[in-house]
Amino acid sequence: MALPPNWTKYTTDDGKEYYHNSVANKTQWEKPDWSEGPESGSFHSQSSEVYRPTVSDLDLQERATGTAQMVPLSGEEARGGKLATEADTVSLREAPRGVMDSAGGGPPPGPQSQGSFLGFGSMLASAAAGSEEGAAGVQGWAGSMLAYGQQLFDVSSEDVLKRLKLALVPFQGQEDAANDFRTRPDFYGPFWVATTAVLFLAATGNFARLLELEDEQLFKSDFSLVSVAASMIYGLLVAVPLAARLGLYCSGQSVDCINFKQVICVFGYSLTPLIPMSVICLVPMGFLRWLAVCVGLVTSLAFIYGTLSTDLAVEAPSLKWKVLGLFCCAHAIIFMTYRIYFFHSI
Amino acid sequence: MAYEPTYQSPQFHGGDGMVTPSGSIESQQGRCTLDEPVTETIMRDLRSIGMKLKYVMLPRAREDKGQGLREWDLWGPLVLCLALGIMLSMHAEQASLAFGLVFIIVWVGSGIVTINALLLKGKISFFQSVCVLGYCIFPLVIAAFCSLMLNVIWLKVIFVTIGFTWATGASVNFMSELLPEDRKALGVYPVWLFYVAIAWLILIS
Repeated sequence: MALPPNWTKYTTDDGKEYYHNSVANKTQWEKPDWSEGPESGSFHSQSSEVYRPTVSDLDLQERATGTAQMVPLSGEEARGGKLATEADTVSLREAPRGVMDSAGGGPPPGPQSQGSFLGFGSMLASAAAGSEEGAAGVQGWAGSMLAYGQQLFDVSSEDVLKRLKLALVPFQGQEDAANDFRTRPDFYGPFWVATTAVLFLAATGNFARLLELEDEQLFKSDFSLVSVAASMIYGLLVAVPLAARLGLYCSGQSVDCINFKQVICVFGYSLTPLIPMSVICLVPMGFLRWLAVCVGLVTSLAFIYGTLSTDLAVEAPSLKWKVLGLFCCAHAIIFMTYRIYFFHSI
Repeated sequence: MAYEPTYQSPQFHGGDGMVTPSGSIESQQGRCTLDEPVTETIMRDLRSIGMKLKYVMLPRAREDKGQGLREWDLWGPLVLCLALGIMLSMHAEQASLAFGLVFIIVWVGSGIVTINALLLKGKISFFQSVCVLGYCIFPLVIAAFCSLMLNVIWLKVIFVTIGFTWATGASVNFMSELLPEDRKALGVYPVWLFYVAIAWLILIS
């Protein structure tokens, strides 16, 4: 038989039962009546069950305030958590902080994500959805880092193919492509294009040396080309946006005015022409190699100019030419080093 | 006199077995592994590695998508990586650079490919994926061994190509199954690139 809250049953040595209230410090022989509940100091309701707020309670609250929020958010859920375009920029810029806040405190349970949809807007919704799907089972800081990374890799195969085609032939569909890079920058393309470029540069450099030797048995592979190519490409991929950021900081402007994810994404994709160019450079003709290098350089720079120039003009007009010039130098370094250092004999 | 609740001592029903009063842990097969001789422990691990290597070589690995490698261990990939590094750096001019490059490409490469699949919201466990990628190097190790014996460059190319197709068969199936629909190509391409890099290293030496 259940006792009211704070009452406990004891037994004396003779076998008689008595009841003690720990809050009111009262002892009595009689079984306590349920009507004594409020006087004994408990402020819960008559029932001894704990009150658990359910999602339906939040529903009722939100419906009382206004139903206008429900329609776009339910559409959001139907699309698996992808947001409308104008909200994307906001969520992508603020999502890192949101993810750190929401997912840093442990795994979000189910009702909480629905609560965030209803209450706190798109930022936490995207972060919670991303962290729930991907970081299930990974707790704490690792989970929040994984969720943050998953937002940067949130592209499909067609997106990546479209961006690669644009990087190779940069004279089509400039405007919506520029919007695409601004709203949904990804880091998958830059990283894997850079890695493929490192492999291709080192491989073609070695293979060209093999082709140039008359006697195949004398060929000694040069593994240092791999380290040179890797340090050059990865180094520039990291250093150029950092240098642009430093330039912004030194010139006194706010560092956040340029969207650096977009900058890194565009710079990474602009390395794509290196790959076909390196294959063409296998042919042992000096003139053809120089032609391939120049065409590759011009294509990369045209791609960067087409996608970044309008955004830079809006975000940081005084620094636009300096940043573009920095990219020019970086690309020139890569292409010229490849042409001159990797192929000894012209 | 306080009212003390009585409670039963908890029964531990763990995943692998029950804790018996004598304190030793019984494995699933019912053997007592703390009392066996050391050689038996080592032989059990070696037999498990050998079984997984055989599993990778059979065509069955391509169909059931690497389920035989479910219980992962990293000894096999380590042994294969060392064997490959030694073979490739034996005749190389820059022996230490070659060995270091093999090590870095195998371990850092498989780690990065796995992290890439995780970031693309794939449902894989980190160490099982590293284990599968490491074990699937085995055909390429065999190809490297064969090409070490021969010096004819066309036979080398043929062996390495066969080894490469064999290696990518099982691991690509394993990886593509665990990725979302619209990203399978994005997750599979790094696996392909990983084996291309190793195949290139073998061809170059």
